[in-house]
Amino acid sequence: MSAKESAPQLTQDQTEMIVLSVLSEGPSYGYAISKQIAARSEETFRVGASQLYPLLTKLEKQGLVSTDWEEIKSASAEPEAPGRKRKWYRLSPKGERRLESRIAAHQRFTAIMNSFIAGPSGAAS
Amino acid sequence: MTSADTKARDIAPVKPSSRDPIAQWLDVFTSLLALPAGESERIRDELEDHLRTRVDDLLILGMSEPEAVQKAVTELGETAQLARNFKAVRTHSRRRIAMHTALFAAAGLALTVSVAGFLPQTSRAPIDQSAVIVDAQPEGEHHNGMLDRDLPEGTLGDMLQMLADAGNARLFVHWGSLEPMGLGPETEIRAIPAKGLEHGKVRQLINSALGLEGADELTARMDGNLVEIGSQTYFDRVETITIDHDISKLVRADHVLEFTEEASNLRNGLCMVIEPDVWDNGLGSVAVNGPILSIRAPQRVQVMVIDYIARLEAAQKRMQDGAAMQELKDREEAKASQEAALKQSIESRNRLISELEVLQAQLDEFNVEYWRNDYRLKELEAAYQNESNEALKSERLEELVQAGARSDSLNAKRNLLDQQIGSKRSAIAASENNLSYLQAVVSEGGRSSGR
Repeated sequence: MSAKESAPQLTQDQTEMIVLSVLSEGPSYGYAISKQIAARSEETFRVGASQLYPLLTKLEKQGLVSTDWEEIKSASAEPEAPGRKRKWYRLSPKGERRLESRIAAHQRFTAIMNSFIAGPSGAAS
Repeated sequence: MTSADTKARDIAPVKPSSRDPIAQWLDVFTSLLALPAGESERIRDELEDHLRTRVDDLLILGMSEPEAVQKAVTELGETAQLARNFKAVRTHSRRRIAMHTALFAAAGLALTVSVAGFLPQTSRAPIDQSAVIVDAQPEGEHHNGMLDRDLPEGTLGDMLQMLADAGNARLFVHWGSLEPMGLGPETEIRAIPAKGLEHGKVRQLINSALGLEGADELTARMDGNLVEIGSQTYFDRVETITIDHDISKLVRADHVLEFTEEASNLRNGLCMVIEPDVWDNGLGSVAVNGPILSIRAPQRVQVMVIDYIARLEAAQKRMQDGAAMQELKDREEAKASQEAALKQSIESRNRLISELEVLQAQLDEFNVEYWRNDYRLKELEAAYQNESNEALKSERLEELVQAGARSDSLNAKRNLLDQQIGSKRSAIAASENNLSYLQAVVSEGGRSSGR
């Protein structure tokens, strides 16, 4: 079975953590974020537009990200013609704290799960 | 990225439809959003960038432009659902403010949750209330969304003020909207045994205690820390918006002014199923223009309309899938039937040919017999002519008469066989024609099903 066929479903918190994590590496925009998530997870995680953009809107409303707009013009467009608008997201200090909190919670969870997998003796690494 | 922060810029009005399919899709999408113009426009701009960037990527991969556009739009998911997701964020956000306000209120959160309980279940977005409440808590804190006390007997004004105070919220009651129901600040209301009940149930009890139902029910809206309370009818009036719903998947129309029987059925069904009072009382209206269903109605009703259309589209798709399956089945059955008829016709043709061969063989035998007899007849005639003995001549004559009778008999049989062979050949020719027709039908059917 391919990774795509067995793609696990991300919870909302996990998706939020992944998006914040991508933004912690620098400003980005929706389409690039979705591509980066797919690429870095080797297509295992796919965050569709219907999930991503409402989430980004929520993050913005909560002050976890700040936004800027950029005007994109194609090379063939008339110089005076208006271009399309691209919305860039940047992690805010509040977002950084949220990301740290999410990572810590995730690591705690993973450690607890590992303790079960390792068994009572804790022999497994 | 440019440094210009365009948050403060003037947002362009919603773009009119154009022939560009992406722009057309965005027009439909923004009409479904039913959000303030500026907010809709920003969401539209962002999704347009997503779609066009995706199309560019797909074109590089070798797709044609129409294919790329279709795939990019399909990847976004079902349009109405996407719009609901955006609206859910907005509603969610507004509810969070109220919930967090409640957390810091000395009177405790439960009473304010009951104010939230006045919020209509469908007016903003189809969000599960319990999920909203739980999500509104700081991490590590949860409650079950139930009131922690009973509501004492008193006046309606006092009870509503108490609920607002508990949430540290400002209260504005549209008393004018409650007057037709005979309600005012001094209206007495009995105690509500609310402790341990979910907020939705408490709302129901308060409305029940006041004898209110349907459009008369008390309902609330929250904006920041302002709680507005009025009748359902009041909020329906002030929140009326117009949306053009795309019904092209349900109604066949070649012209925007066409009004088909399907459109009539859709309108009648919608008005019967969704909030009949709204249409009867003039709070909403429906117009069908070709593939566009224009609805003027309160926001909460618009959400129901979007769901209704989505359900009809799903049902239509199921029917079309079922019809396609039935058509395939019918075609396969027809093909099997045609092939059986072809086989039967071939067998019939072959049987006729066999019968013809038998008749032909019989005719050949009779012909040989006839020619032998004819030869014998000529011999007897010669013998008769040459015979001088009267007695023997008389015998020759007798033999000659018998041979002549046999010749007539054989000739009659040959004629009969000739007729039978002629009929058989006609039957074979008809069979061949039928066969050619069936072969053509089966061959055409095979090509059709193979397409």
